[in-house]
This record gives sequence, structure tokens and C-alpha cells, in this order.
Amino acid sequence: ETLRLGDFQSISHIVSVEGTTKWMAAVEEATGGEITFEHFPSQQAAKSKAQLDAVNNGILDAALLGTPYHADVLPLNSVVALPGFYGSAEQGTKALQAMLKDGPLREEILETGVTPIFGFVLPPYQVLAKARLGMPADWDAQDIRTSGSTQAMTARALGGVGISIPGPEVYTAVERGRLDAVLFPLASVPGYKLNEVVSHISTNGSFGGYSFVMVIRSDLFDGLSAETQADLIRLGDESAMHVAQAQDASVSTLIAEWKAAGIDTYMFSDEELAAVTGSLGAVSADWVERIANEKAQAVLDTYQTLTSN
Amino acid sequence: MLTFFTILIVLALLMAFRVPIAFAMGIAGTLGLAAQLGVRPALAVLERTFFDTSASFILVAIPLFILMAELLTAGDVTRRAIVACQSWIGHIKGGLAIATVAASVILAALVGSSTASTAAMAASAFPEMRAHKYSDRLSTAVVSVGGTLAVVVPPSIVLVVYGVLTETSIGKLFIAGIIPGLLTASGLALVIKIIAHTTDQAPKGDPFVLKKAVKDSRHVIPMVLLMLAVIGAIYGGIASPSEAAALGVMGSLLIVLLQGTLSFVQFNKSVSGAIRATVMIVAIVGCSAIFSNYLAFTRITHRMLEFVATTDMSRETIMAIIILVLLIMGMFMDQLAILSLAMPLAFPTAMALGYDAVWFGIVVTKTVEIGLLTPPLGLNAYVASAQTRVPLGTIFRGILPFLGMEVIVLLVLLFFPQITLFLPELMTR
Amino acid sequence: MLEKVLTKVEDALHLAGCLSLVAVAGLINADILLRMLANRPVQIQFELTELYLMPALATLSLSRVFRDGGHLALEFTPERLPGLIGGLISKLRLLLPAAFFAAVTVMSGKFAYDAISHGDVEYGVIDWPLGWAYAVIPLGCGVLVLRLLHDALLKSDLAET
Ligand code: NA
Ligand code: NA
Repeated sequence: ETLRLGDFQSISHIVSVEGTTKWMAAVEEATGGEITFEHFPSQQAAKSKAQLDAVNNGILDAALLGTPYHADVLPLNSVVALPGFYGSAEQGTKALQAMLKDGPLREEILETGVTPIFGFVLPPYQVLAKARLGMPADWDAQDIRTSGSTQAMTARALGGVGISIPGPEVYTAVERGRLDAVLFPLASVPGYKLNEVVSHISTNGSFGGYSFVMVIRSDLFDGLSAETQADLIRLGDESAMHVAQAQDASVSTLIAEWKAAGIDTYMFSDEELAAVTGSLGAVSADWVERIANEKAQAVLDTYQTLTSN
Repeated sequence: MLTFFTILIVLALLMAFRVPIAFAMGIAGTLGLAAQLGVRPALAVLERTFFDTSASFILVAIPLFILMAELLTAGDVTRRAIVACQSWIGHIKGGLAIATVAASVILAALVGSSTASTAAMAASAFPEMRAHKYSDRLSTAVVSVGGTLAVVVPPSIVLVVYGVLTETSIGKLFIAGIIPGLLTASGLALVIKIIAHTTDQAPKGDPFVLKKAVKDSRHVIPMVLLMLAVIGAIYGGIASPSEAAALGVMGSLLIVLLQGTLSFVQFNKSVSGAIRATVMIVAIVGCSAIFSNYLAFTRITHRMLEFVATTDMSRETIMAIIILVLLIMGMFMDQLAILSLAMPLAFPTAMALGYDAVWFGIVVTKTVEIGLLTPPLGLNAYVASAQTRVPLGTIFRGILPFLGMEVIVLLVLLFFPQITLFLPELMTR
Repeated sequence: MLEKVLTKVEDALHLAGCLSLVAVAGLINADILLRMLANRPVQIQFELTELYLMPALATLSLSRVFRDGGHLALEFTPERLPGLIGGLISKLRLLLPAAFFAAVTVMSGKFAYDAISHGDVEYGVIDWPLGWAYAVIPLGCGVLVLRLLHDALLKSDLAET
């Protein structure tokens, strides 16, 4: 069977190279060609926000979802966007995978008519700026580019101002001083060339997360043999860990490159980290209240436990 | 393959029978999707295509820059500025058209969208050229071709999207666009000169009078101030390029109010005109998204580019094929749709062959920009026609000689990469 | 009579589209000014513009623009071909787009209705009800369908004289 797989990422992105593409190849090999893929990267088949609908409607059979694009129907899954939790892609991915195997995050996805196969996260968002931002006083009244409501809350909790600017315009906005700082996943920094326009990049902060979930339409998945289903999931688990580790490694390499290029890549001191994390508690509290779902607090508690070791 | 050609024939027939281009692409795209995926998925595509296409902050620059142009035109600002340029060079044959090109270059430094730039020049320069007995054919062609400068001269939406898709430095791309942009403008002026001297499409204007020229020059001041304000807002960190478009609207409104040259009725007409052009453009973008979606599912472009990548042809042949494919896509599709469809395969191919990413970006931009001028989907000609009410056929005929020049400029850029790379290399030194 | 009502509806939607554009320009300028003077952006500006005002200004006037002949078409062939086939073509020219936009109206309308009844929101500075943002699409396209049908079926005697 040939599955049409939608993807909003380009095939040159690390998430595609080490995750999606690798998983597809592994599945094709393991199933001896019983399952093959037609890959539609770069939003060719559907826009980022339309990927889930496209799978449901039979336009696609499978898709790599960026969960923030589907917060309207997957509110509980947006727990991963909260700041102050996971510290590496590997840690975050382990937590996410556990929650996708069983519990409210999985049920919420199943309810939309698709089955989660595996999920992984981007390394935690860091702050990139033209000055070193540490203690809360440094953040006061800074114009910070954020994407989505949770990050806007994050900026506000730190005393800054969250500003929405489309991705392609971030480079010029930073270059020309319209923005003082940007919250960004480090793996995506080269793509937007932000390292050309900032002088300070934090390396051990956790200003929010981002999760991807590979899904297959449930009626299609349920119709597969138990063996094939197991193959898809087993290879998914392997791909999830692999892409997480590859991203962590790539981030380390990037940091070394930026350091060599004269950028101040800095670690928050314990004191700074404690102060910042203290301020960020408000964001989680707001999240529980905002999404108004009876399972929100339980999900947050589980997530807290899974990411605190 | 048979379905694909049937769909192309359906598209051609619909367009030949004067179904609006947007509607024709929507119908053909939906039929194609139904043949490819089935009726239910095809209909499902229609659920949110129009919303997803229009709900985009980046697009906001289009209505705003058109509104800015409408206000400046209704308030007589652009006409006066062109009168000023004209009193300096209008006495030579084709002078007014060349003045229009000069104005297009300045506007291109403000605007990142070529349709917005075309709309502005069509609204202001065209009536002036018509009043001076320039042929409709030449004047509409000059504003259409001049409008394409906006995506080569920075800032440019196309270069930004290329940079993001291919992870190429946007800063370098912007710098690299300057010389090719000026080269295109010079080529344009040259073609105008040739046409002016070989046909009677561009007559001489009023004789040159130094005193009048100096006196008329004061009319340029408001426009220059506005440009300084908008560029200043972008480079001074006050506004992003999209937001600067809104500042431009406010600035234009201030100018025409201070001059006392805009009535409430004219203000309404300007807003209405901006909406009219925007609705037309977004309908085309939305419907061409449906058609591109169909193309994506046929895997046609994928297979074509994959073939190019796996063959043992020489690297020059492969580059030529890539450019040709992009040119053909440019006949039918929106620039951004082409980039998102073709770059995932064309870019790695070009890199594997050892070409420079910044150079390739400029060449690709220049190539898809030519698509704005070619039928059946030539967005700039459409905008010019919407604004001036000159028939599309006349405009496309007028564009023909300029198309020759565009291809020559493209070849020059292809054969002499230094022209493109000189400035960015200077910058990194 | 029908013509009059349709024209009124089109003009009302067009006015709404125009006001949306004025609102976009005003909001962005207010945002920039407040940022400069008080370092406080108009937080709702971005989402209000992107989710509501842009789709509204881009689609509400679809029909009015069609009425004014604003949707561009190629004009290589003669406007009216002679004979029965010519009459058929000039009807199909309107009926095919009518069918297409009817499909868009039904599908996007159902999509908007589902989002409204399901209470889908975009979490932002405030919770934006998405269904109402989606609803402008079927509204704009629906009126265009009426216009196309009207021109195809009721204006026929006009075209033949
Ligand atoms: Na430009
Ligand atoms: Na074209």
C-alpha cells in the first residue's frame, strides 16, 4: 500500500533528514515494500494548519503534524509548548513518547480520527538577542519575537513584550532593531540566519517547546496487519529517539560554530535560572486556566514528573 | 499522464472562452484533484483553501501598497512627481517612459511585491503617458515590466521566501539583488529608446525649459519625503516591511490632506479600488493554490526534477533544464507557489552541481519574475489591465520586446555570476 | 427586484471589505505609534488582522468585483460566438464557475459551521473564535454564486438583444 504522507517541513530540515525521511525508508525496508510512501514536503499537499484535516478527509493518509498548528482541536498536546520543562530534545521526546502511548494526549489525538505513531520535540527554545539577557531586570520592556500565545505569555511573565512577526520577516526585524530579542529553537537558527544579526545566544534555557506527531488515519491504520502496525510503531520509536539525539548533537555543533564566530553563547547561572523559572510558573498556571479542560492539571502534573529527571 | 493533459486542455478551453483566469484555475484544479484523489478529497480541499490563502499577515502589504498608490494617485502626488521628471527628460523621445522606469526603481526600493508596484505605476504613470500620446501598448508594458523590479531590488518577498526555503542568507540575497535590478532597469530603458526611435509609440514631449524644470522639481519633494520616512521606519527599526506599508498609507493620507487634493469621495474611491485589485489578486492566488495542489499530487514536477537529478548530463544542460522548467511553471503559476513546489528538488540539485546559493537565488527570482509577464497567468499584466482597462491582449503584445530583453539579462546573469556575487562578496570581506 | 436586492447585498459586503482595509491600516499605525510612545503594542493587532480582517477584505467583495468586470479574463476570442453553441458557451461561462463556487460555499460553510458549533478557538492574547473568521469565505463566495446564477439565467434575454 502506498501512503500519501504530508509534511510542512522542507526535506533539507534536520527533522526531515533524521526523522521523517529516515522513518519512511525504514518502514519501506522492514515491510518489504508492503508499505511505501509518497512524500509531500514543504506544505505541497496542504498548508501547515490543514495537515490534520487533510488526513481526515482522505486527501492524505498520514502526516507529520506540528501540534501548535492544531491547538484548537489538540489543546492538551500544547502542554509541550510550556516553558521551564524539558532541557534537551532527548528528554522532551522521552516524555512526549510516554504520553503518546497512553493517556489524555493520545486520546485527544485519537478523537480527531487519526492514530499517533510517534512523536518528538525540538530542542528547547532559547533566547537570542543583541544583549545578554539574564536576571528578570534585563528582560524589562524588551521587544521579544514570540510565536503563539504561550510564548507571548512567556515574554510577558519575564517583563518583556511579546511581538508577533511572520517568520520570514524576523531577520530584518532583528537586524534593524525592531526586535530586541527572539525566542527560537536553535536548530532553526541557521535557516533564518539569525546568527548573523544577534550577538548573544543562551544555551541552557527552556523557553518553551515544540512537538511533532506522526499520524496515520485511524481506519487505514486499524486495517493493517498487527505485524505491520508493530513495525510502524517500533521503527517510529527508534526514529523519534534518533531525531532527538541528532538534534541535540547538531545544536552542540552549532553552538561551537557560533562561539568560534565570536557570538556570546552563554549559560544562565543557577541564580538566573532560578529567577527566570520562578517567573515562568505563571505561564503554566495560565495555561491550565485558559484551555479549560478538566484533564489539563493532570496532564501538566504528568509532564512535570516526566521531565524532572 | 492522459488525465494531466486533459486537465490542461480543460484549463485552456475555459480560459479561451473568457472564464476569469482565477475561476478557470479553480475549476481545472478541482477536476484534476477529483480525478487524482476522488471526489470527496477534492471537495475537502475547498474547505479551507481560501481561508488559508487569505489569512496571512505577509499578504497585508498587497492591499496597503495598492491603497498607498491609489491615495497618491487620487491626490495628484504621483502625477506631479512624474511631471517633474518629465520636465527634465520628457523632451527626448521615450523620455516619459524612461522617467517611469526611474520612478519604478525608486518604488522598488520601497515595495517588496511586484503586483503592488505595478498597480501604483499603472495608476499614476499610465494616465500621464496616455495624455502625452504614448501608445497604450507601450505604456502598459512599461508599467508591467517596471513592476517586476520590485522583487529583484530589495526588499523582496520572493527573496525572503527563497532564503527561508533554502536556508540561504537573506541579507546577502538582498544585497545581491541590487546590481541585477539596476541591470534590468537599464535594459528596459534601452528597449524603450529603440521602440521610441523605430516606431511612433513614444512621441517627444514638451520642449525643455530649465526654469520650468527647476520649478516643477518641488513636486517631487512629498514623494521623496514619504520614501525617506518609509525606508527610515524599516531601517530605523520602527516597523517591519509589512508594517511599513501601513505607515506608507498614513503618510500618503497626510500628504494629500495637507495639499488639500483629496475629497472624501476620492478617498472612498481609493479604498474601493484597492479592495477591487486585492480581491482579484487573492482570488488568483487562492485558485492557483488549488491548481498547484493538483500539480503536487500528480508528481509531475517531482518526476521532472528527479529525472534531471539522476541523469548524467552536463551541469550546464541541467541548469538550462531547471531554468526552462521554472519558465514553463511561470506561465501557469504564482511565484511563491513555484518556489515552494520546485525548490525542494531544484535547490539541492543546483548545490550538488556546485553552483552558488545566493547566485542561484537571484537567477531563480529573475526567472519566476519573467513569469509575471507571460500569458496565460501573467499577474503584472493582469494588474496593469485591471488598473488601466487596456485589454490584456494589447498588454501582452506590448510586453513582447521587453521579454526579449528580460531573457538577455537572465542569460547575462547566468553566464557572468560575478555580476550578482560582486556586492555580497564585497560585504563579507 | 432580485437584481436590486442582490446589488444591495453586494454593496454592503463591499463596504464591509473597505472598512476592513481601513481598520487594518489604522490598527497597524496605532500599534506602531503606541509601541514608540508608550512601549505598549496593540496586542490584538496581529491576530485580528491575520485571522479576520485579511480574509474579509479579500473575499467579501468577490461578487461586487465580478459585477464590475474586475476578475480578469483572457480576451483573445470574440465576446459572443454566433449560433446555438455560442449561446451555450456564454451560459457555461457563468454556470461552471457558479458550480465551482457553490462547492466552495458548501464546503467552507460546513467547515465554518463545524468550527462554530465545536467552539474552536485560536489561543492568543484573547481567545479568537475561529468559526466566525472562517465564515466570511462562504459569505463572499455564496453571494458570488447568486450573482453568477442571476447573470446566467435571468439576464439571458438582455444578452440576446
Ligand atoms: Na523591492
Ligand atoms: Na506567466
